[in-house]
Amino acid sequence: MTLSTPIIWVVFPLLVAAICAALSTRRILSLIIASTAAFGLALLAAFMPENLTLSLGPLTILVEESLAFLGRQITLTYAILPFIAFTYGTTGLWLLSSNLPGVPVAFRSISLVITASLTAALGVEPFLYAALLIQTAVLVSVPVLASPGAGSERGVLRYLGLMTIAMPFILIAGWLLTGVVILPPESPLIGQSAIVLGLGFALWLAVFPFHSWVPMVSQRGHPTVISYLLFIIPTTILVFGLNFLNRHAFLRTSETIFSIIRTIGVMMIVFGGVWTSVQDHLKRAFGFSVLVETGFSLLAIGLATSGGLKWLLMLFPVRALGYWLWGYTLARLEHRCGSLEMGEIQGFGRRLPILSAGLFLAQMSVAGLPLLASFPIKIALLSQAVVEGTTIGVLSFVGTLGLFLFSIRLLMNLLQPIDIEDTQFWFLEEKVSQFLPVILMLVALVAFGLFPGFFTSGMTSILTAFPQLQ
Amino acid sequence: MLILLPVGLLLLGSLAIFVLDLTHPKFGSSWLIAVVAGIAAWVVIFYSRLQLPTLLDLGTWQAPELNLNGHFSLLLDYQSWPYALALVTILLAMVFTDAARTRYDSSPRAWSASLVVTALGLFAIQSGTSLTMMMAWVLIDVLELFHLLRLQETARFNLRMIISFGVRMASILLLFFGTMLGWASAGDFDLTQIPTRAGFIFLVAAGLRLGVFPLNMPFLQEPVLRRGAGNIIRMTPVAASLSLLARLPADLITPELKPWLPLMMGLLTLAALYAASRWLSAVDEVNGRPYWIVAWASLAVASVLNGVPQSSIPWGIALILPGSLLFLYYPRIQRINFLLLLGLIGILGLPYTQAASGWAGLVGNGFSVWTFLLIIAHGMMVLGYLEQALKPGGEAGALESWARLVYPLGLILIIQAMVALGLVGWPGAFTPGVWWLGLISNALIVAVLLLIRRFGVIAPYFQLPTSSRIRTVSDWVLPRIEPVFRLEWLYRVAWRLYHSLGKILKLFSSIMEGEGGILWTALILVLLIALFTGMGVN
Repeated sequence: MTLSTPIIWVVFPLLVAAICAALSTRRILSLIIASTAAFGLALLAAFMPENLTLSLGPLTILVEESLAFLGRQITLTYAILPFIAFTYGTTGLWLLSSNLPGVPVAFRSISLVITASLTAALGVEPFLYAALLIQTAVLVSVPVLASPGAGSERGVLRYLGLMTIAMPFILIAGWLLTGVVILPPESPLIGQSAIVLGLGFALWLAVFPFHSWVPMVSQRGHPTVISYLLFIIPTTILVFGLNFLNRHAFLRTSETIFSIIRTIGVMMIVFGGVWTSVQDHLKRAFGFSVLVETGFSLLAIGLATSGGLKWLLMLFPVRALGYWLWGYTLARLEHRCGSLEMGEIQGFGRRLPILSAGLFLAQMSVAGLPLLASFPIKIALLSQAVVEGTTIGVLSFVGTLGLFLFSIRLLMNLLQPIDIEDTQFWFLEEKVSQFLPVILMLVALVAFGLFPGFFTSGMTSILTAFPQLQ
Repeated sequence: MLILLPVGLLLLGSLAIFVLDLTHPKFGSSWLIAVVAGIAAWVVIFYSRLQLPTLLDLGTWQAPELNLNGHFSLLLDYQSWPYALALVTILLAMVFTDAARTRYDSSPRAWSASLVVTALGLFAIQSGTSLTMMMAWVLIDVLELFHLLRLQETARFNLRMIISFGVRMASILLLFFGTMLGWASAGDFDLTQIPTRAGFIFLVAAGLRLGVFPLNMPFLQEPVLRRGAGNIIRMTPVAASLSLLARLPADLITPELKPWLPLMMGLLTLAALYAASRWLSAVDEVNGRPYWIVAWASLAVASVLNGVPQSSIPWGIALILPGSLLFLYYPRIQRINFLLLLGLIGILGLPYTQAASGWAGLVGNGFSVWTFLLIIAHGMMVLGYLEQALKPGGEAGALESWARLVYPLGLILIIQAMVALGLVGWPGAFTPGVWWLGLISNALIVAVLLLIRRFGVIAPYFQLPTSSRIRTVSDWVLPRIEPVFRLEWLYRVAWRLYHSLGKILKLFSSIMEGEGGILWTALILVLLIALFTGMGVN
């Protein structure tokens, strides 16, 4: 009997998603099934040996890397399995918090479908079909974003519209790129195909000026859902983007292209940072911070010749932890406070100190505060940016200050009651079940911040899936 | 491992007190543990003077497969040892003198917190790399914030506290920025070889943290926890910043920065004079503590700007030790008031005393108007100290018998540490120094003392009588010009600019997110393409 990696990591999760959808009224059961499946798939991907053959009595199961489907092929090589382990692991993490108040019931099944679609996108051949699979993930995500009565329709429409516009750009770019290999270097078609490809990715990654949907969706959506989507989709798109660099020599050898990517990355960091700093709504600030993080990813790709791709990959797990904690604490606070406007959360830090500390430190971790998870990678990235050009480095650093400034404002509001002359007292209203995940995650963030090599080195092995980029 | 031993001893002591307080709260046993931990740490640090410099590598992030930079180490050398000794000394003095403050703010929890803060402070002082220092600063600041938030203070105070935390964060980010620049120019480095490009940023980081560069004083009043643990919590971040100053390169001011030097010295002198005048007019020593810190720290920073970072150490020690002598002296007891006068050894700057080697930092490359103004600031600091030291005390009868013994012992410990540091604290500590500067300053002090005597003012009350016309004028003018000196107007302007920027950006966001957002997106895209094409991108 033959089994294939796509059956395990694409078809099986879809089946689990269907089961979860059928059991959606039984929240605990579907939560256990979905998260067990996600973590199980993550562990399997992390520890599965190459060319695995299982012998169960007379039955011999051979695990192959490819699966033919409607005349196309999905190939999930062993080299990409660490990334698949990572995506399912993070999906499992978000699934664990899917029981929070307000999380759409469909989130469990939909998150598994999204992860499965994105996994398939990484291995589909011809690889242009990945654009369709990514579009599928986008379409599937709409029901969990558009919660009735939340006023989220406009943002979701914008999201859907811009992500859909990206698809033809990628398809056209792919079509153009097939002919580029045989063209002379001075052919204008090379530049044109790169521009079309760039536009497609810019739309996908919500690069300025295509970013407007991010704060809109982020403001109206549930923090758990938003943090998951704004993590998993850009992360997979970025890894998918490495395919293009790996396949096309003219892309990976062009200093101009890397320079443009760097510039766009810095622009995103600065714009996102400045915008974050002036926000009065906690969920909108999260949206703008996501733009900053996209900027850092682009900056890392722009520094590929100096080892930037390693930083890109190492940033993924620390970002996942930060986003998860951010989403979790926002969800809890929103449930308690009703609104996440700065003016509405005044004094809540004294009632919900651990959740508030979790929110503050999640933001600080994403921003790159020393001792927390992102710091070792961000300081390396930024110092290399200075080597490339002082302006680039300094501007990137300035951009990171936005989230720090916002966090200090947040702290002031959390600890500041309306009457300034009042003596302050603490009223702890948190339950252990609410703050235990926060404490565990904070420990994880500090551990990642102190021992980045131990926790994130596994991610760099993903580069073996892209032999030209090592 | 000798470096880590005091840190470990203090943490162990703290843990023991904490557990004891949770299970069987006993004041005496907790105090004894704090004393034993403090003495053990003090002895180890004192002994380690014989083995300077001592380096301990704690680990590295460097690995070829990770492409990361940076390593962690602890370094006890002539720059960090004086601060390490001073910090443990004031901890021990705090525990001893707390015996007399059982009715006030001494408690096992406070000792436990003080031991932890001191351990972290030692970690920061002994940091061998900027990475280690950043981590230690973060830990100290978060712990301090946590500790201060637990005090049931007013919201207004809490707001200032968070602003102060924000300033500390800014200093950590500057250290981050400096490290980034340093790595870009010289690769991974340790604090004994700070690249010039990073050095100036580190100076600003330390200056900001100390509240002098630029002048910032978020705390205009002290928290309720003022004396024992309060003093440790106030002094530890200061000591951690001062130790960085001592390590900065002498050639910090590059030719590009040279034109800005007068402005920097001007701001620094302004900070020193303002803080010294406020110290002189402070109601009591604890209310004057923020100004005490700023004034001495200004002298330390000035030494670095003048290219003599080693001279920042005596001023830094003057801040910590004689300052703590005053701040820990509560309740006041008339019979031992003279001990405070012995604290003058640490600040007068007379030849062969602890502060004598500091004058070289103020004179730098030559005597200037800044030197003169800083000497005036020094004189005002000494006068202020005298005023506080000469205030009358009460009777010792109210103290328990054991407290009567250990209370002065804590103060004597500080004095003997001052003497020890003046003798063997660092190479060149036992020196006549630039003796004539000390002479000028002390002559000025004596002249002022004589002059004010003629106005009918005698120690310890150096303020003019309320009926005096000069006093009436100064009472009207000073509160009005004070905000100007504190530079709060500048921060308010910056805050308003930030709000205006916020309004503009929010307007832009609402346009982008409005009904016509997609059209605006298309327009901006076209404009960007036109811009890039215009810049020559094909």
